[in-house]
Amino acid sequence: MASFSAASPPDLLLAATLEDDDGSQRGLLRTAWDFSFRMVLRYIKNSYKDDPFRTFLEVCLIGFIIWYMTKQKYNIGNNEIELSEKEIDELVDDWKPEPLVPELTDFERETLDKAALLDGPNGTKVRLASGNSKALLNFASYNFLGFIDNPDFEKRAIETLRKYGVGSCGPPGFYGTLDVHMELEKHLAAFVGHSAAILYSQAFTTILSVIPCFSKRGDIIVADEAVNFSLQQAIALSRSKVYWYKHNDMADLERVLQDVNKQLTGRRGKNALPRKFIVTEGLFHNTGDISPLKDLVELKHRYKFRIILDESLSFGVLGKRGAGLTDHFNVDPHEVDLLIGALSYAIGASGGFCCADKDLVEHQRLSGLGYCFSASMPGILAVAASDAIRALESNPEGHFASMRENASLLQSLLKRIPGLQVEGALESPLMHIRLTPETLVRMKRSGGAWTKTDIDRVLAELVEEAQKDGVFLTRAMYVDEHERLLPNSSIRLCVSCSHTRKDIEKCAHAIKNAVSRVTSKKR
Amino acid sequence: MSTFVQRVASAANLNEHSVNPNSHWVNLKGSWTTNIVLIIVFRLVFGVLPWSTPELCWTLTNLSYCLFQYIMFHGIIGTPFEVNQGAYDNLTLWEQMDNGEQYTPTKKFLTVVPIVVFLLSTHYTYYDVPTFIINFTAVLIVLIAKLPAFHRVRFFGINMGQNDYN
Repeated sequence: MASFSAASPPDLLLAATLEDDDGSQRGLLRTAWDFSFRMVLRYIKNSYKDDPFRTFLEVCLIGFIIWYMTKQKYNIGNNEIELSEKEIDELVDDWKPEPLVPELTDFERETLDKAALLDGPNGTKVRLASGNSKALLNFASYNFLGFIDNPDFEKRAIETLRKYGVGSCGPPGFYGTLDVHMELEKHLAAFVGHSAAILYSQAFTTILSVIPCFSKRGDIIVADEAVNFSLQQAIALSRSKVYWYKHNDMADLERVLQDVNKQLTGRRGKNALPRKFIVTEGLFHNTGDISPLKDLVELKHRYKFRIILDESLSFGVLGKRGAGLTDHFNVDPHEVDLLIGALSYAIGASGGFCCADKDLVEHQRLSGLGYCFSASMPGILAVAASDAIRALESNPEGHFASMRENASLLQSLLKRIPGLQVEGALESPLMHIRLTPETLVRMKRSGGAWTKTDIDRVLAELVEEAQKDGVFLTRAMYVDEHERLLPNSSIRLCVSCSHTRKDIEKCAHAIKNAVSRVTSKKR
Repeated sequence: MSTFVQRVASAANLNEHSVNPNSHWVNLKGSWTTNIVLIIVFRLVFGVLPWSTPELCWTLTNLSYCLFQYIMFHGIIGTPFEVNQGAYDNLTLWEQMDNGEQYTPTKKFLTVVPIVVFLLSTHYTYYDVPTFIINFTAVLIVLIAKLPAFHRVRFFGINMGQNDYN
């Protein structure tokens, strides 16, 4: 057999095969094994080269390979505890599952049983489906401009139904866009005075789509504390860092903006310029206030933020033309970077929209989740919205003057009722009424304390009493556990321009009687 | 001391069922094969150069492969496209692989390959000291970056990313 150092691999192989007589498969395998074994031995022998330190390093590396390869895989994040079978059985026996639908409390059951069921459209006068079919004055629906019971709109809608059918059967990007959608988008952009608009099929999810589309993890949102539920959910969905400022308090907002900018001064590189947004509503749903847009724009320019304005309730309500907060304060709409509105409140159709620069709107066509993954609004509703806006354009005075008169009249009448406090801006047709703390104290027997359920119960009685007098009211309802700052219980009133002066006075009278009846009983 | 070595924040989902679309491809057979093929290509390209000697050739192969591994797995943080609202923005590809699980087959493979390339390269450079030191340093950097103890650890503020999570 040839020695290691002199032999070259082919010679080795040849010598090995010559030795083997039968030349079978097994023999070839054995020679391959011999060959590679000798190759490794030759490598090791060659590699020593009188350098023990280096060889030691290499042996360490090989040892590292072997150690690494033999390690079990584990996850740094969660270290699960191993349980024995007996422990698992015990835990399973102890576990009592919570019911899928939790038991209702007494008050929740009452609320559910007494929930109003309307028979027919929820226009200015409604009928309850249960019992007496007396017509009630509707102060609960957001029918600010009286478009719900407009017979011309109904006629046009039925014609459109014959042409377009009921649904659009697809997302806007996938054969769901009709010509009426594109017309409505252009119409909205022109009416508001912004560059472009994009339509969403549901008003509640419009803001949920727009904010996460532009504000992501690592961006900064400064939001008003009293924003409504959909805005709170949108901010949570975006995973941005959120700072809250006191409701409509511009000094507090300035302090927060300065704070944020100070925190950002040390940053370098890619993180030095995150997107920064101020998020607020035009007409607040939970309080009826109006946010001071002029101050917001001034602060935005000074501290380099962008404004996202949720004009769900103020579109079609505020302003000379009804174009919302920008119209009301005579501010250039382009100052508001993202102007979100709803067509389901004053306009009386359904859905929402977002007005912004052309690039921002185009970005939403691919990244706005409500736009990409929900069906577009039906043709009838797009036509109804267009008609409503055209009615506002042709006759602004007719709608807004009476709506604002009614609103201020009702507010002044309600403020005169003892024991009642009214919350809402002077021009706003949406207001909240509550019982004053002094009245509540007076109503409680000595030593009693008010829980939220008790106050809700009192307001529910108030609503019932008002119903007996022919006025349909509603409590402001919230998902209590999920609201960030749960507002105090209240009754929410919505005044319409189709209410007559007598209707307003009847409402105030009914509330006055209800309040006196309810507060006379001690609890 | 605090800027010398820091630990970076991570909002990544360490649930074993979630698939990270940015890093999942390293587990596929083709990626493993590509690694081997890449080493062979490097070796052949450097061998073809007119002025190359075997030592230079193998040293360059080792260095190129270590550089490739460093840039690919440890040098860049985040994802090229939006994933999970930016949850992986602070993590290198190595940290994103397999949801942060250590000692998975892919990680074992990618740790062993640089060592094997290093051993081959020292063998073919006839074990002289300068090239050994260069090769060893390269392999050491790449190996240390892969150790579980250095998961999410950053030196000298490189690749700190953004630490501001709510």
